[in-house]
Amino acid sequence: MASASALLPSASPVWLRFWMWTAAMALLIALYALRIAPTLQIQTDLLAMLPVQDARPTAAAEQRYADALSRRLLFLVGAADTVGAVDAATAFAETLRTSGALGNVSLELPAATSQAGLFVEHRHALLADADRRLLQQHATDTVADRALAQAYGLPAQPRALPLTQDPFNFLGAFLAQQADGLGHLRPVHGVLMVERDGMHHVLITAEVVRAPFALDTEDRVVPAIDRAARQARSAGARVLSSGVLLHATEAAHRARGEIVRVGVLSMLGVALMIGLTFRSVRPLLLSAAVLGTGALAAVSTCQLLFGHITLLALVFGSSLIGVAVDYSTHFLADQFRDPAGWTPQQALHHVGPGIAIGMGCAVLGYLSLGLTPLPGLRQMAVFAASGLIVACGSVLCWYPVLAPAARRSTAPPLRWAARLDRGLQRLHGRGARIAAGVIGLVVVLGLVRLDFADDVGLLHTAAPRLVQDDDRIRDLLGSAPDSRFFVVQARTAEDVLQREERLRALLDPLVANGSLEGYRAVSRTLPSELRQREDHALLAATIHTAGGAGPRLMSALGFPPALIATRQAEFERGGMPLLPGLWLADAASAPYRDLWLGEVGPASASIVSLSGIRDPAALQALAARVPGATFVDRVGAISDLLTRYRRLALLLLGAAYVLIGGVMLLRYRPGVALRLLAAPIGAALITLAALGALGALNLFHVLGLFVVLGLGVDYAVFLREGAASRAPTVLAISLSTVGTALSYGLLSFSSSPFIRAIGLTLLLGVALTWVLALLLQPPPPLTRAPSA
Amino acid sequence: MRASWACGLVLYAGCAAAFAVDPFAQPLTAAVVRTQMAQLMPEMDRAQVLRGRFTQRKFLVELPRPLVSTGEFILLRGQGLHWRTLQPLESEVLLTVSPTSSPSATAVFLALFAIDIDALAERFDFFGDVAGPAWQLGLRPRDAGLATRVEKALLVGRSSVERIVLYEAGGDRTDIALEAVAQRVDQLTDGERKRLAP
Repeated sequence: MASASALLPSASPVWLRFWMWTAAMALLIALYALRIAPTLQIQTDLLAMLPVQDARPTAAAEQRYADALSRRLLFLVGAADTVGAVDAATAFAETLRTSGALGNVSLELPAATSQAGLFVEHRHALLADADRRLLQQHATDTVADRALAQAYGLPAQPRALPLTQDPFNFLGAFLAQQADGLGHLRPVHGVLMVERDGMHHVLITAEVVRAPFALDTEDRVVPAIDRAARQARSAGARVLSSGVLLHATEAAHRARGEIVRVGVLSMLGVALMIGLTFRSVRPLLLSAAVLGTGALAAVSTCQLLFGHITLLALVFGSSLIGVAVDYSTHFLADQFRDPAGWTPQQALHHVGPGIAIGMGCAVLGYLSLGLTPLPGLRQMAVFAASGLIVACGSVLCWYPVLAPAARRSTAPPLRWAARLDRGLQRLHGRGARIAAGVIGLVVVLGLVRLDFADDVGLLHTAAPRLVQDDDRIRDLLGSAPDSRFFVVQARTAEDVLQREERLRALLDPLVANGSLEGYRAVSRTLPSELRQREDHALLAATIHTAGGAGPRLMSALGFPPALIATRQAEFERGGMPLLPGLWLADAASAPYRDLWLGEVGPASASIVSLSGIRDPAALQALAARVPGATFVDRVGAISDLLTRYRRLALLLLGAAYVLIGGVMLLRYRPGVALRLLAAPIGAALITLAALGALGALNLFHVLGLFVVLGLGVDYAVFLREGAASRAPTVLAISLSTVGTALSYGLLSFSSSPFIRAIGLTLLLGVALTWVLALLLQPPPPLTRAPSA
Repeated sequence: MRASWACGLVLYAGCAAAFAVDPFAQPLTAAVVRTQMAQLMPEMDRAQVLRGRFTQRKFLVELPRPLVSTGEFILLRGQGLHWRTLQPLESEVLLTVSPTSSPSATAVFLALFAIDIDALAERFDFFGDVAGPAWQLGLRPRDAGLATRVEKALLVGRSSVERIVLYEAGGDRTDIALEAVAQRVDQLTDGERKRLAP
């Protein structure tokens, strides 16, 4: 501060504020460079904007499953013949493995479908559902006849063990039941393969080892996949890939591209505008400094508060350029009030309060966004509020010292603004009132018919190339899991398996009658201990009794008595149930491990994944009949959530208007305050009606209205506060409208539906607010007289 | 006891005669097999149906005597196989190719019966002697997955396939003798066609 006071020409508060602000900004830059930039993490998962704390009892289990799914990648490598396909797939998997970007690259078939070692050991306690039912009905003759027919028939039935070791082929049936979840995939050449139209495709799965939704992970994984795919294609193979990560990467790249495009184009537009209006380089540099400090503050605050910054906040933030630059242009445009004697210090007194009130109202508007429980929105609110406060501070503290002295001529833009204003003011009168009435009526009609549609598709539109691959893979595999599934929870792993079995008993009839194509469940390969003990007892009672179905079949097939005795003794000794620990440790569990969540909090949980759902209501109803089972529809839940937040946001929007109205009452008379609010409210209503005519509205249109509110309040307040210098104020808010329209106009071309919704709302809303503000805040009679 | 000994001896003699030369000693390329088989069984392409009687002997490890069964079969090439066992008990099996994809065991079986060289070449290496009118074609699975089930297979025939021997990995062996006549598709009854080519 010593050096600062030495530089003070007079100890005026203007200079004091200037140096203090400069010091604060230097600190901010240092903070950003030393603390923020090294740890800056950009979160690309658009779903991360949804609430983290979820009160539902299945939330933790769902999250764990969703995390696992988002890490998984799936590839089909195809060629005209099986050997070529296996060779291409092997090379592809090898490239992925050596890249180090992916883990668990698996091509070779897990042991379960090729060798049944683990199950052979425990075979005396394992039964297929159908066999169990037959034995429960004491239909031992049916089972024995089938075994005889198999023994004398073609050896084409899949057998897990030679006939003399398992004459009834119980183990073969148990293992065949596990292949149900495989869809069209068949084990060929030791890999899983699917054949269609003369093309043979090999399945390869892989996992992302690091955080799946971080930009740096995506930057490593996708090139590795591209490289492997290029190599395979150059060798004549076909590669199809699918995975949440690919979609996230694509979306992130698109969003990044848009941030840069929108940022650069709106910067250029703003620069052009400032250059044309003020004909000097210094305003340009000053505006850049304002935007820069605002952006640094916004990014730093978000990183400090949330530990990361979402892509959504950045996209939203890149369009705040238009708002922040308002303060700058409004301040500088004040020089046109009195080009001869203007000094920046005067402007501070003249437009400073307006800027501060405008900023206060805008920040209130944005902060009310932060009242929603959506973390994404809270971040956008914090981003906008901190950015605007600092941008405003930079204008109010720096400009009085640094702004250039006025040019001694009236800039042509000022004359255009005055002419425009005069043109608009002529709209007052009877005709205008009738027109306003008609517009009002149309708007009311439009508002009554307003239609809302909140769909998760708003958050994400997939690139056609990826969707095409996904569809092709789903079609080839024939058993792509639905986004809906069951979570089964219980206190112990054993209870989870028992509950799964009860659920499966209800699911099987749905599969049989076509309401459901199929499902995957751990208990198909790992029955509960209770069931295994029951099955062993069932076998003991019906098959392995002295003179029972077992010994009878064996002697009919010509087993020597000694061999029959050996088999009986083996059965007596067997019957040790297969337990989860052993199962998990064996490679045989690999195809099902993704479904086994194990301990989640105080409980154990598993997933039953579904494919080909044709009757969701029936599934929903099932869950009620099995304790601990919950039917989860994440996509539906997200859509519901968007609806809930859209309603909440509409309420908050109303509350924000009331709040801002309250603040205005501190300064203005009620009539004046109402008039000030009329412009943004009117603009919001007309915008809603117009957007409603274009299609269904959603949460993001409402969010757009929040920004309209923030900006629109400014316009009216600036016009009111700057009534004494009407033309420069009109110029300032016109410049601001052009700047905002420019940046939001650009957003309305975005490939993401939600950004498009925000952009379009802003474009319409801001333009309308500008017109309405000019109409509703006519120049005071004093200034109107000379210009008329 | 003596009868079974005699039976075993006769069978052994039969096997010894048939495998006088180890068919798996001589590797063959798929191209050679394809051209030779086309010459040896000229009507194979024209006749889409093979109909006849079979005698199947299953030699199972640990069992002293084979399981012998007889019956009738109809093969519609590339479509399906109807296998009807009449003795010692009546049962039937229908193997068909589903439009999308079929379990590998079924596909292998259909290819063996139809001597579909292209399909077999994908999954087996060829061995044997296909020079003369009496030919022997040995097959060994190429991939580990199939090899866990089938150790090898042997096809023996003249103008049509007469014997199919399947050696399972566990040591079981199935020896099927066929007495078949080739037919055209239009010689199938409607019921047969519907069953074999759904």
